[in-house]
Amino acid sequence: MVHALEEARRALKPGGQLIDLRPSARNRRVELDLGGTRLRLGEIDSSHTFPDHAAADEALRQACAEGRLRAEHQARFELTTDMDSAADFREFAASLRRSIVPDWLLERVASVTADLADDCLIRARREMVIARFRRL
Amino acid sequence: MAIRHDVAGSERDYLLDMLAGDPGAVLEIGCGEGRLTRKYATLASRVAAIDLPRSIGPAASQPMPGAVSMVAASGVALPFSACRFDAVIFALSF
Repeated sequence: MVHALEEARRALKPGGQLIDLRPSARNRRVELDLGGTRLRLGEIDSSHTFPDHAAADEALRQACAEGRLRAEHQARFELTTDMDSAADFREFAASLRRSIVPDWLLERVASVTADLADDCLIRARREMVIARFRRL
Repeated sequence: MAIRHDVAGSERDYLLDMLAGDPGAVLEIGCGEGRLTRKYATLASRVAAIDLPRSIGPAASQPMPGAVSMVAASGVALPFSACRFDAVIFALSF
């Protein structure tokens, strides 16, 4: 984003829209859903990406301040990943490229799901930010 | 056993709401394997979805809905002429 923003603006028609979709600077929360009752299990650490979020925000703020873009709308929503078992959660954890799932959380998920019936649900929640800008 | 992403469809709903109707010609930067691209591709007149070669991988040869071109390219040196797209989507790009 930071380095590609001006190139993106060049490729965009005047009046065109630029959509920025990315996670917020918050960790994913992991919880157990027991038929509507939620048990919080822990967080997946994404803190090392937070400076990148700040840099992207600053690049967009500067583009707006310099009259290259105009901010139009922003919204936040939650992106969920549902898993049926501790094995699913391990697979999900292994697929994450820029976040760290601590060993204690893997162990906790395995521990709390070991004696539960099949109807439990492991859910990871991530807050997302989507924003629309207009090319000036 | 299964892993299910965004069962509620929130990401698609918010993205389509932001695009507000016909998005025209779209450039998506950071498309990865096209997970997000598939959610809006049929609404666009055409889509150029780019990412670094190591991120696109074999998805570039997979069938996609709509008029999508998956292009291995860097966002800092776009292989497109100026003022070509109606919309640009930064997909999980920092």
